[in-house]
Amino acid sequence: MAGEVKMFFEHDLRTVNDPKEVAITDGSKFNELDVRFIDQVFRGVVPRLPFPLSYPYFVILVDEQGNEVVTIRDYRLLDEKSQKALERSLDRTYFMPRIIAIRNLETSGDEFIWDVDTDRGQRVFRTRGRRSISLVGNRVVIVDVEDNMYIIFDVYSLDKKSRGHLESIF
Amino acid sequence: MANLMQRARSNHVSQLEPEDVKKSLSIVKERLRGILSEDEHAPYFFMSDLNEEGRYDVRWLVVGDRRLFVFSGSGSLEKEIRIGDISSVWFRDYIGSAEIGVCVDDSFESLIRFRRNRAEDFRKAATLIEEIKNGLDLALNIRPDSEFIYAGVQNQFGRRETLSWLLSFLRPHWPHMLLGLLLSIGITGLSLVPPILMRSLIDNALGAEKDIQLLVTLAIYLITIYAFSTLLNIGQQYLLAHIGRQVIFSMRKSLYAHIQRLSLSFYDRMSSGRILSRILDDVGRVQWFLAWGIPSLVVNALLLVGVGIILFTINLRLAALALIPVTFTALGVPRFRRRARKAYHKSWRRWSDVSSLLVDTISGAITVKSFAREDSEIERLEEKLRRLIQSDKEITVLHLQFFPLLGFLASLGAVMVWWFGGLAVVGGELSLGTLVAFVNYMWMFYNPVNSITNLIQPLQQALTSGERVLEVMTVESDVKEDPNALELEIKGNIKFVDVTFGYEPYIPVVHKINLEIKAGEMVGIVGPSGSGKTTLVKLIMRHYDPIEGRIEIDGVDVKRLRLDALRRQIGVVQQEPILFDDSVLFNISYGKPEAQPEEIIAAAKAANAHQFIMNLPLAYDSPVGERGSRLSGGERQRVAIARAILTNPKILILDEATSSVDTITERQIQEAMDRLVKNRTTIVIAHRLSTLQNADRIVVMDKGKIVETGTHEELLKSGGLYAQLYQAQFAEEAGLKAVQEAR
Repeated sequence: MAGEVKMFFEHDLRTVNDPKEVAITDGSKFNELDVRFIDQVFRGVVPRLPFPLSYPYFVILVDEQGNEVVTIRDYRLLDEKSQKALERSLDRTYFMPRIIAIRNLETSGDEFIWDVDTDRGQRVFRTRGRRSISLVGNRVVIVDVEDNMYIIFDVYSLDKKSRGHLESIF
Repeated sequence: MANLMQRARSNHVSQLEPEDVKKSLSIVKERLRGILSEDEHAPYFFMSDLNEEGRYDVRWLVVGDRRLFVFSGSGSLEKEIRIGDISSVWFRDYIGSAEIGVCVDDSFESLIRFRRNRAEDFRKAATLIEEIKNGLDLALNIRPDSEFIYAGVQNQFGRRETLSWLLSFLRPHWPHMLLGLLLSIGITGLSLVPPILMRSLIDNALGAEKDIQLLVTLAIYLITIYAFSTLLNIGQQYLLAHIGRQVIFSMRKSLYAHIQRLSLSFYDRMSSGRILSRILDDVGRVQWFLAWGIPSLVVNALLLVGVGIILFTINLRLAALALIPVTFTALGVPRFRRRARKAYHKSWRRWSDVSSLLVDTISGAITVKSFAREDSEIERLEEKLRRLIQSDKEITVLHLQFFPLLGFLASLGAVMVWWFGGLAVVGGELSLGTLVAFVNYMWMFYNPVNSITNLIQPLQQALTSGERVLEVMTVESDVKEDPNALELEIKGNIKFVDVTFGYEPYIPVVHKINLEIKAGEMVGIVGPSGSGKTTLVKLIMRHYDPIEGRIEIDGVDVKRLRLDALRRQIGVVQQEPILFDDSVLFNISYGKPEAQPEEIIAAAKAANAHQFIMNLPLAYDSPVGERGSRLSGGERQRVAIARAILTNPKILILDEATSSVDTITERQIQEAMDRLVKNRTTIVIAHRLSTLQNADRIVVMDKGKIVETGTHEELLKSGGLYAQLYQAQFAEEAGLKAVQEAR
């Protein structure tokens, strides 16, 4: 894992320093995981993303009582099996469609009508006002009028036409 | 004189013009030359505008190495005192004025009176006299020819100064400007050709012998000229727009950068609405001036000269006639300009009143509504709008008094040219073609004259805006950083030595504060509101400098520390923390953008904020809304605590951090605080005394002074102000509890 962070507070983050210390498997209950961390085993944990946009691979595993049992800085460094198990669970827990392309973007008054391709399929939705679209670094978070969230993970990974649409509203 | 100009940049307002002060000073210096002995120096000049009787009048206090002199503005010597005879110097603050006096042979003698705006300088004078009396040798410390002039005259920025400042923004773009000028010359040159062709057309092609071939040639020439002229115009417009954008970019940037570096006292003096209007509106008007006004002035001036030469070459007498209306314009416009300057300033002030009111009442909508004051606010705005309309009306009337009449005179001139020119054509002295060409040129001559006069109004506006921007640009920060400031890794010892400070000069908010806080100590500061608690914090942060005394951190005067280093090592949580419209992550890491995610989480946990943040839809990436409006008061408070402690400050200041939250949240914050006070100096300003029971020491303030210090128990026992406050609160809380239990 990346260099250890020097801390000055007392805290209870059990941070993984070596990916080999961790193994994640499907738990006995649906959509729960079991995690082995060094010599401890925690059963029935769920993954939480404290920074879904800024550090999307930073995961905290939380047990049934809500205790944060293990903190993983970058789950991409885990072994493949663990990663797969974790991703399956994350995928179910976090429904945040990623926009891959913007087919069309119409403006009427302060309403935008988006026609997009996401990683979960094609979609048309409306947003109202400038505030429903926020830019965090290269990421864009869009909240539609029904409070659904859409994310553009990296503005620069969009094709030119999509970027053109997006640029017209920023 | 460099010093006078330097002082002139300060904020003191005086009705004296810098010129008057200069004149008076040179008279005083002349008189002084006759009084001083050969090896005597008197390099310090302090100006006051009050005389002995307290009437407005110029007085100069001159401090030399042996004697003090007081001169009147016209140079007569009013007082003379040998410094060696002085036993003490006194400085007295009154209301609206103050004075310095000296004690000679046990008798008090007033030296000079001055208004409060001059007090800062005269305090220096008093200190200086004291130092010389105690043996400071001026000759050793300063060069014999140096002069120090403290005249405090505010500079009204001259047009020339404003203009040269504005033009300095164009300097980096000189290649573009040069190209623009060349294009302008080209456009002007081309526009001078058509009337000549017109003459040829009338006299030769359409004259006695009709010449179709010539007509075709002339038509082709004209088309070519207009085509070129269009192209050059496109190029010029594009260039001007480009330069305008660049200039405005660098001007807004440097203005914002300057304002960012000013101390808080600037923000106290100028409301945020006024600052915004200067960055947004005034800079916009200046953009117009630089990008469009100046070039069009240049083009028109070129045209004026070019056409003028042609007019006089064609016919001297007609040219002289054509010039008559121009003289009226030339006489009328300066008169107009003087009156316009006043009228525009007035209109702007009123506009900024309107925008201040809007900013206040719209952001304070809840207060307006809570007091059901909507109607009166509407009336208030109506009144201000009415005043604005009134001043706009005055501007319109002013314009109408001048320009229509000038236009009429121009038309009269044209009629005269037709009349006399027509007579000449009839008499055979002039060809018809030449007269038509002349009249064409004449209108071409009036055009730039009119354009230039029409440009004056917007130029006026732009220069006024420029002045307003320059005024902000020349405000100096009250808190200045020592060029040799130290970057100190602080331990957290804080010491106030005889500190006196007031936001208004010489109305102290805190008075002669002596307080020592050891590294790692937790000190509570309590006292009624207005007792100066928060002011102490601002002084430690060096948002302001004390008027007297000093503040030391680890034994070093804070004035000798680098500002950024000092502030970075102090964490502050305010009563109403301000969050920025971005994510929770952005706000927590505001003081340490490079913080690792674990640090952010740890800081949030320490501030008892982690749980509620994790429950937000995007956790730490959730937006907090404008000024943090999507979070509750207690949540904002805890985010602010996390922000303050992320930098691991050696000194942590909690300024009524828990006063606006409920008791459960307060307990959570309290828990967080208990975790944080270890290994750092903590100052807790609290209204609720229950928050302070863990404090090592409690300082009780009243009316700007420290009245008691001790632990909670000690203070209760001694039965002073703290005990009273505590009992009052305890009774209140007990009462509340009783009410709750009864339910």
